[in-house]
Amino acid sequence: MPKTGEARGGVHLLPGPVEATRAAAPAQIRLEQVGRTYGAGEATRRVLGDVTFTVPARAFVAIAGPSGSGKTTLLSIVAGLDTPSAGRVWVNGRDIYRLREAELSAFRLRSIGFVFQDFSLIPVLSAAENVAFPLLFRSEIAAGARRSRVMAVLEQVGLGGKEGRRPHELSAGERQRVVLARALAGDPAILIADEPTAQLDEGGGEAIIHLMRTLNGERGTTCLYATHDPRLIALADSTLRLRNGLCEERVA
Amino acid sequence: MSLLLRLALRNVFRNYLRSVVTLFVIGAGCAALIVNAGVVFNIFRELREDAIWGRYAHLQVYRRGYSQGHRAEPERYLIPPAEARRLIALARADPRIAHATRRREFSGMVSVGSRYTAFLGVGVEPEMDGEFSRHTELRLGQPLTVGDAYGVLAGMGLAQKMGADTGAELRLITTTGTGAFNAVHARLLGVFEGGFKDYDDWTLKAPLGAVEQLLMDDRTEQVVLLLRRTDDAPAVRASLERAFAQEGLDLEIRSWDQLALFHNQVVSLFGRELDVLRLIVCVIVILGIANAVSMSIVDRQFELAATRAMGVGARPLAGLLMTEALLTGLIGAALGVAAGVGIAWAVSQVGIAYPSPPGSTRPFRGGVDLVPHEILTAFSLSVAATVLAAVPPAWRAVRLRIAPALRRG
Repeated sequence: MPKTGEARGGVHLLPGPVEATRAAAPAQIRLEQVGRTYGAGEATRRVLGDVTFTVPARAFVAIAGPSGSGKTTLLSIVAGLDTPSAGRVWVNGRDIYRLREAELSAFRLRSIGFVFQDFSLIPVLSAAENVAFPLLFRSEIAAGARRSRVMAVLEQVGLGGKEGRRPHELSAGERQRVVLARALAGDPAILIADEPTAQLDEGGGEAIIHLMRTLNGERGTTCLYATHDPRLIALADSTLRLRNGLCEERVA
Repeated sequence: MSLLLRLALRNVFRNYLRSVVTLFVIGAGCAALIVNAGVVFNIFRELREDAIWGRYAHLQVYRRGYSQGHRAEPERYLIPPAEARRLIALARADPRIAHATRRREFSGMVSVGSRYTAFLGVGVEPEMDGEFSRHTELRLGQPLTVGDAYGVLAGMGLAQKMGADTGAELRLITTTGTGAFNAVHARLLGVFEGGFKDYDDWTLKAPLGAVEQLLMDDRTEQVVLLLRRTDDAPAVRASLERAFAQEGLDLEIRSWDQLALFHNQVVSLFGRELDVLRLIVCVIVILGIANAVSMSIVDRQFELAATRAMGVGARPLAGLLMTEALLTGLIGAALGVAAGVGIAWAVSQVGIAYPSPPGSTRPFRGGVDLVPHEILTAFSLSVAATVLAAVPPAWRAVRLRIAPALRRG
């Protein structure tokens, strides 16, 4: 396995200056007896129960399972978006739910790239501006480096020349590529994708996963993605299958 | 322009209809404040001009202690002729002072035939009276003239009480400083309307020479000063006080705003009304904007949750939302200022017909004054109300629970 930032094959996903700003080394994730319930009393609904697993650094992991099985909740917990009702979550040995709110935000900003199911682009910004948006809050990235990084990552996801277009001027596949570019621009240690291909056709979905795979290979980014598409599951190094909030099977 | 500012600006105009309504609410509130203040200040100005140019002038100079004691001991507070000449010379040396004249107030009875009527007299220098009475309208006859040493003017109400027409022969009767009765024959030259009923019902203006003859006293009660600019009154007063002290003149000065009690009461009353209106407009703007901002945040809940998920902290996100509110306020208030100025100009072209105010004898036509500090106040209040209104929804937005909001999206 190459070191962080070392090229494997002919394609660099990000230009050189990114290396200096990467917040953390490839991340190992560990969940221990994590559960999540909603409501209280008789109305309590368990969405996730007693999930324990470890994702090694640089892994490319699919979270599989039918709708309502807890995939999104699990990814949200790993990403620091939803506090588990029980259990603990460590990223590189640090319990992220012991962090204060501001520290958790900073952790997400610097360490997590999130690809949402529903695009989540800001409609009044162009593709390039959307990609640049989270980088604005990282003071260590100078304006010039930010611009070159945005252009490079848009080029990489195949949107070179379309950086000035607003989301409504792009196709669904292109929008999802912008979302991916935005997640990659910060050079995160962990990339989390929640059904990233749900809004895309077959080819578009596979292309997105392949892009993630390239990133994983080149940058050592730990990738977790939720899907119920068997072809996309097959592209993963390992798979965690959920059913009714319980971990049903781990496939290495 | 930074991306964050660009984003805030674009978000302001994101929902066209809502933006229009929001900007309309802010703009209308701001314009209402400007126009209302303009109307009120126009009334203030009219009253001020009436007070200055009709009765009191800008400054009045008396012997020290006059204000407190002249009613009890009028003879004690009179200025000898030589001293009056010195103080007028000092006043005329100041280029900010346009005119200076002597006056003597007295009271007595006027008879027309066998009919006797009480009056309050003012002895004036005829050649100066026109300048000092610009807001006094001559309804009948002619003004005082230097050539007619015994020609007098009466207020409309007094003329009616006397039952005298212009040209009527009058006899002015009063008591002198020594307590003796004295009288002079005079002729009614004209009838004036000063605009204040009490003033018009009692006032008789006579040439100062005739009054000095009647009172058998050539001392001056007051020297009144007209300035080129009303705003100079405090400064001129201060420099005259210094000059009087240097010259050893024991005099006191009162300015028009100390004397014009009716003007002061109206300013106080309408000033409160302005404050109440400001409060009402602020409440309307705050409620309108809070609703608009809340709607905007509800619409963008998924987007805001995604922004938080990307790691944008609560503080920067609140900053973004408040920047949007600030821009909305600035744009809305700027439109409001433009609208307010436009309305003020248009209304002033047409004019507003007012009935006679309480205590006044004549209606007047007013307009809408553009008062710079009131425009600035309206602008600032509108922006502040908008920003204030955005605080609670912005606070709720940054405390949004991210995962549920993303699921709802």
